[in-house]
Amino acid sequence: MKIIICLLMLILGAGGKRFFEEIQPQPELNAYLPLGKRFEQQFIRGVLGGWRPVVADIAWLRVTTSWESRQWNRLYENIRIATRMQPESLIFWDMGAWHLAWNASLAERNNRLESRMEVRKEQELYWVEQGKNLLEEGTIYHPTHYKLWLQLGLLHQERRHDYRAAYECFLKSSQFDGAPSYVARMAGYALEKQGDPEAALNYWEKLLEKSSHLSDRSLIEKRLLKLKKDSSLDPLKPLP
Amino acid sequence: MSSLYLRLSTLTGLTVRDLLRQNVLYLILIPAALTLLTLPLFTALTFEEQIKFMRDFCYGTMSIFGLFLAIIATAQSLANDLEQKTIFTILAKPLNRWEYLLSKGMGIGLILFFALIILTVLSAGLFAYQEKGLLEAAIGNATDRLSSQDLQRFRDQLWNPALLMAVLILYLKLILMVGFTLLFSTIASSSLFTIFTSLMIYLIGHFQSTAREWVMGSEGLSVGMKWGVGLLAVILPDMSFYEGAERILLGATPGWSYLIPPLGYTFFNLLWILGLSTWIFESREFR
Repeated sequence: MKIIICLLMLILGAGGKRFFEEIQPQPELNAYLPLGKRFEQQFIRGVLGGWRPVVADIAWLRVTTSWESRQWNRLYENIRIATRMQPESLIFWDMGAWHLAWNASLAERNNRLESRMEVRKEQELYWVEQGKNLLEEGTIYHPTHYKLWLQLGLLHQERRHDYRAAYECFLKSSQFDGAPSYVARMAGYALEKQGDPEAALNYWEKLLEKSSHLSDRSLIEKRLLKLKKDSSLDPLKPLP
Repeated sequence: MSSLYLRLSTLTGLTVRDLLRQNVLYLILIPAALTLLTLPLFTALTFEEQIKFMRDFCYGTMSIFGLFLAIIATAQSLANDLEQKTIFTILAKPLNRWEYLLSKGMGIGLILFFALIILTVLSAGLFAYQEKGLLEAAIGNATDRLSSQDLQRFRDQLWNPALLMAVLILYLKLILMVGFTLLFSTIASSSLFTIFTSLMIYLIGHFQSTAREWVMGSEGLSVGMKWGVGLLAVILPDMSFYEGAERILLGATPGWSYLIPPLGYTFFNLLWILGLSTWIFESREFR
C-alpha cells in the first residue's frame, strides 16, 4: 500500500512538474539569443547564483573609477564584464556605450600627451566603433526595447555622422512599446541631415497622418512648413 | 488527523531545535549579516545605480547564504540522526517514514523562513539607513530642483513592495533545494556527497530548459533517446522558474499571480521528491 501511495505521489508530482514546464513561457531572452550565448548565460547563473548581479555591479563601480582616472582599456574591460554578467540590465549597455563613444573617444581626441593628430583621430574613432559594437550587441539581448535603438541612432548621428543609419535606428526605436513620440521625430531630423529633403518631407507627411496627439501634430506641421519653405514648395499644397 | 498533526509538529519542532543546537543557522546567518553590513562601503555614482546595487547585494547575500543553509542544514540533519543513532529511537515510535522525512523538510523550511526574515529586516534597515543620504545625493546631482513627485519616485524605487515577492521566490527555490538534498540524504551515507550532489543539481538545473529544448529540437534523435532526455527532464529541476526574482530586482512590479508558476512548480516537485524519498527510505535498513 505504501509503495502504491509513493508511486502515485511520484507520478502526480512528475506530471504536475512537466505540466508547469510545458505552460511556462520561455524567458524573453531565450527567444532571441543563439544557443551558445544562452548556455553561457545559464552557466554564469548556475556558478555565481545570486552573486551574478553583484559581480556585474562591482565591475560597473570599477567602470566609474576607470572613467575618473581616464583608464579607457580598463573601463572597456569592466563594461564587458558587467554586460556579460548581467546582459538583461539595460543600463550597462546604454551607459557603457556612452562612456566609450563619448567619454573615451572625446578624451582621446583632446589628449594633449599625443602630439600626432592622426593618432588621436584614430583612437577617437576606435572608441566610437567600440561603443557602436557594444550597442549592437546589446540589441541582440534587447531587440524590442526602444532605448538601445535610440542610443544607437544617437551614436550614428552624433559620433559617426551616418545619418542614414541613424534614421533607420530611430525609426526602429519608434516602433517599440514605450518609445516617446520624439523618437519618431528624430528619424525625420536625421533624414533632413542626410541631405534628402524629399524623403524627409515624405516621412514628415506620413508621420503627421499617423500622429494623433495634438502637440505632436503641431510640431510636425511646423517642421513641414519650414521644410516646404526651405525647398521653395507651396506650404499649403500637398506633396507631389 | 489531529494525531498526524501532533506527530508532524513535534518532529518539526525537534528538527528546528536540533538545527539550532548544531549552530548551523548561526554559522551561516552571522557571516550573511556581516556581509550585508558592508553594504554602505559601496557607493555608486548615480541614484539608480546605487539602488540597483543595494537590491542586488542584499538579494545576492540572501541567495548565496540561503543556498548554503538549505543544503548544509539538510545534509547534516539526516546524517546526524544516523550518526548519533537517534533515528532508531524516532523510528521505533508509531511513526511513518514519510512523516519523518516531511517533518525534517518542514523544520528546515521553518529555519530558512526565519533566516530570510532576519536578512530581509536587516536589508530594510540598511535601506532606511542609506535613504536619507541617497535622497540628498539625488537632490545634489539634479540640475533642476526636484519636485515632490521626483522624490516620491525615488522613494518608490527604493521601497518597491515587489521586492518581498522576489524574497518569496527565492524561498521557494531554496525549499526545492531542501527537497533535493533530502532525497540524496536518503540514498547517501556521507553528508559531503549529499552536499556535492545537491550543488551539482543546482548548477545543472540552470541548463535544464535550454538543454531540453535543444535535444528535443534536434533532428535524427531516436525515440529511446528522446524518452531518456524526457526522463532526465522530469528528474532535474528547471531553475528558470525562479528567474522572476531577478526581473523584479531590475525594476519589474508584477502582480501576485506572478508567484503561481514557481509556487506550483515547487509544490509538484516536492510531491514527487517526497514520494521517491519515502520509497527509498522505506526500503532502507538501519544497523
